[in-house]
Amino acid sequence: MITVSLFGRGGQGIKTASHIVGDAAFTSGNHVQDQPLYGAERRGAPISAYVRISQTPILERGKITNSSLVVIADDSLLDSIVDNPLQTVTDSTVIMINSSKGVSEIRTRYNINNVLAVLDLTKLTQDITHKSIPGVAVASTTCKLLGFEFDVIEKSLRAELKEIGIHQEDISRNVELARSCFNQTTHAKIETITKIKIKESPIIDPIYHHPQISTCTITATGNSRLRERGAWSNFKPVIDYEGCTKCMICYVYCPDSAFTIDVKGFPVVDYDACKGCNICKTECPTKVISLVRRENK
Amino acid sequence: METRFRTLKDIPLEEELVPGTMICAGCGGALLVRIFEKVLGSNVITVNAAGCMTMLSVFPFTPFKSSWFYVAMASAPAAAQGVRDALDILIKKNKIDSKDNLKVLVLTGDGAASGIGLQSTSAAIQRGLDFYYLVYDNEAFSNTGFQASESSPFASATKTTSPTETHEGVMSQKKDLFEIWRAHKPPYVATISPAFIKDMMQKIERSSQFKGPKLFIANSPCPPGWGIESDQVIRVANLAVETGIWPLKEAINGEVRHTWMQKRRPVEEYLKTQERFEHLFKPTRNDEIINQLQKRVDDYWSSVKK
Amino acid sequence: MKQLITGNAAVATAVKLCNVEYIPAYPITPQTEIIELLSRWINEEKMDAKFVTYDSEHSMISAAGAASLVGARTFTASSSQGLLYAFEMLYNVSGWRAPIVLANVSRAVASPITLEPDHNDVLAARDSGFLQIHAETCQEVLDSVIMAYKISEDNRVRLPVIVNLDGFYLSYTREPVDIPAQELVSQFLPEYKPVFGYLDGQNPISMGVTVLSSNAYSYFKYQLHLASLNALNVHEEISQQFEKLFGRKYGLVDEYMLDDADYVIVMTNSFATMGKAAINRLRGEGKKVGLLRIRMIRPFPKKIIAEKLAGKKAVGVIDQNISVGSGGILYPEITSALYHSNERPKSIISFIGGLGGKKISISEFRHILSTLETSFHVDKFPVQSVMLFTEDDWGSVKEMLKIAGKGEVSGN
Repeated sequence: MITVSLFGRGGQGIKTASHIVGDAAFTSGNHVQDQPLYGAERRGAPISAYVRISQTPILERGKITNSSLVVIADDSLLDSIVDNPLQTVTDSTVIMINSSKGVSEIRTRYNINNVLAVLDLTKLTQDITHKSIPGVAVASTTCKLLGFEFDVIEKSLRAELKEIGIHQEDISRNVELARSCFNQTTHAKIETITKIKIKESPIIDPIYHHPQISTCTITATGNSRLRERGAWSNFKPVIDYEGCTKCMICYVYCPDSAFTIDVKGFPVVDYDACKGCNICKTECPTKVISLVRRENK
Repeated sequence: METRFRTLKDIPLEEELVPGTMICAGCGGALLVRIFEKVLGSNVITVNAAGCMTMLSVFPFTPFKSSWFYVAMASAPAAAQGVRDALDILIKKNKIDSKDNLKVLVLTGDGAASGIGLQSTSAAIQRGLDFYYLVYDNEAFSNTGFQASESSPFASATKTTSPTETHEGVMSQKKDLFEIWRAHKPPYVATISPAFIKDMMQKIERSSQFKGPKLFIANSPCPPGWGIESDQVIRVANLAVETGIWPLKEAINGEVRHTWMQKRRPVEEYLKTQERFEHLFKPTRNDEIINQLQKRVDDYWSSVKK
Repeated sequence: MKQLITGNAAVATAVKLCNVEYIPAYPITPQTEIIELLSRWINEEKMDAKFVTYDSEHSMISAAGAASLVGARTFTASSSQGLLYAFEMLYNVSGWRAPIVLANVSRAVASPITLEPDHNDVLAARDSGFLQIHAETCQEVLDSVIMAYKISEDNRVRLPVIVNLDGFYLSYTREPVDIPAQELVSQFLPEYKPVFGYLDGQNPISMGVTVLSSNAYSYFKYQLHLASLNALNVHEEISQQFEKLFGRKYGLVDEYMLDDADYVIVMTNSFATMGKAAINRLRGEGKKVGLLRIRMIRPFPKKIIAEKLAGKKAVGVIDQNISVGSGGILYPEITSALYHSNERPKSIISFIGGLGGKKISISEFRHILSTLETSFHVDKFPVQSVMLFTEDDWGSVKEMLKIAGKGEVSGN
């Protein structure tokens, strides 16, 4: 069995990508299971999806804990403490990351020694579809790594995109995108899960803790600040202070407390807190806020 | 009463919620909660009915500097009464210093407020519970992916009311919580909008002079559910008021007063901004429904005392 | 001082003695007398507490848990459909670790609707995290409420408790009850201190938060189980303190003529009194039979049950409840408690009796004993629970069916 884990953020088309991969595997004559995993649906929040592909019936369910192939559609997840996709990686896992950074930079920064492909799928997606939903590019690249034929991929993606109500012209652009991704990727040798050494953990006998500990409460306050949300968007608002009248509209309308007012009365954006909703840009009466692509994307 | 919010710049700069929540980018409800908590200040306990805002505190993280208490969907106002009563008991017995007293805020979505939680809300108002009650009305069960609630407007598309050739979306009228609450004769009821923050801050401030139920229902644009870009949230909320669909008003001891009474724009301008009303314009324009929606708004305003 | 009071009054009296500060309420027969008494005492200023009637049991339990977390000692009461209506919140309140005490006055569950007791209401809550103490007498009711606060507020436990008493058979039945002096109760039960400190502006906390992690969920949920299991020892310890001050002793189980018994009938709640009378009669006929009453239902005292039933020839479990499609609810729990005992009885047989408050007659007890004897001597074991229902019982139903327009029903 080949296990594929896809990681991304709500709104990036990860669920659809997993369906395209699942479809392609199924059409190619395999036993398949695919499943998205998200808590409460949130645009920008981390989500994952899993595809199991096997020549024999699949005796597994749920989240994949040991992946043959890990696909990361959003490199900002690599910096996450809680949602880090590298948790399911073993020595023989093949990793594909959508990033504008170079392979060597990613290797060094995240200490990755596995077979690794790094592709800027977001840029390719924007160039071809004029949108920044990389799901199809992710799906096509994944299928190529898995060794599926393009005809199969095209058929799967047309069916899946139609199912979620995508218009015909957008589907055509996405087919073009998929072809481009297919052509620039090479087939990789993906290990079946039976070859992967599974990390085991001994059973413990839990002991009782005082109710102050063992009740599900949070006694820390305001600690969600530890979770950076800047990665939720490809763009960030940048203020041109020359024309800023300190009207505070941007500060007032920010749903995420991402602005502060400095001593001179100017608004300052906390980019780690900004989810990129861009209300500030739209509401700014003097139009001094512009959107700039985030560096780390 | 003299207001401390004469301009938008009088907004308190202290944030009661820090960033980092899982709430969607551009959430109208999140903005309302942020402003509401700013005006109430730090000694607050937020009692949260199940809904989108449940996602504010997810173990082990919380954005709150003050206390937060998640209760079930149906009974947040009842738990709020338990909290209020216990605080009063403990203050009377000097177990809690009265300077550390908490204001009780119930936070709930429209699905809970207009349906499963209406009974406990009605009872809390009837008992005269001293609390603030904020409904972020995104007009559907947004937390579960946008299914129709009792607060979903006529002709809107939701995940359970998909428009087809024979269906125009929600076929019933939105429940009028303002009037339901007002019938209980609480000291303060108001509608608010995230596009009218000064109005909102003044209303919260005005309500705070009353002991007893202080009830707010807030228009709360939901980018994924309404089918709008997140940056359009304030624009859409503004249009809701300016087309007369979302009247800004308050009722002090039952006496209704509108706080926005200007020349209205056609309802169509509001409808056109949202995918949930797209079927009224595409593939062909549905004048019958659009006119019905306009007429309902016109009828409402013709009954409003000038 | 002994007084002739009902089981409901025993509950109310104990609540007053425990200096309860907050009482969220909602009326339901046969519980209502408890909240009527408490509200009257509060209005007469005999009791310093706040009483609030809620819109439903669901709201009532929500408020009870909330007030308890903030720092007020809280009591509430319910029964039957009321308890079921509150069901979602029972699980929440135990997860919050709010040490409230809830008196459940057992009443059979609709449909069909009725007023008299069986234990399908309280046993439905068996997995909720509430501890459960089931009482046999009005005295035990009063004492159990006092003990319940002490157990629930112990940091080794910190779980809510249900004290169960049968509707009618205890709720409205007066019998002499020794009412302890206030000073002694206050000495036994110190002032309530909430586990997180009084909730105020100085102690902000997020409570009842969502966990989206299955690991964290498993941890917190299993802690409830460990806390509940701790109550087995805590009960023993508190029981000794209670005996020292008040002279009455309560075990996790209560036994009657058990030591030399070959055959044992297991029961709970007030019907055990009738069971004891049957034991007396059967003993008079030379039968070596005894009774074991289980008082603590949650945590379930497996060890002591296994000890008490070890070496017996056969055991009959009367479940005054029915898990439709399975049989008695407590039967499998008792059976599994004995499985690994070297001296486990040859047979353990399930009986269903007392549904909707139907009395268990001597004929039924006699049938239990003969079934046990047969199982021991001739290896005959019923696969399903045995229903205790007599020819006379059926006769009266047949009459009613006729009046209800169903004609002459044959069979039996």
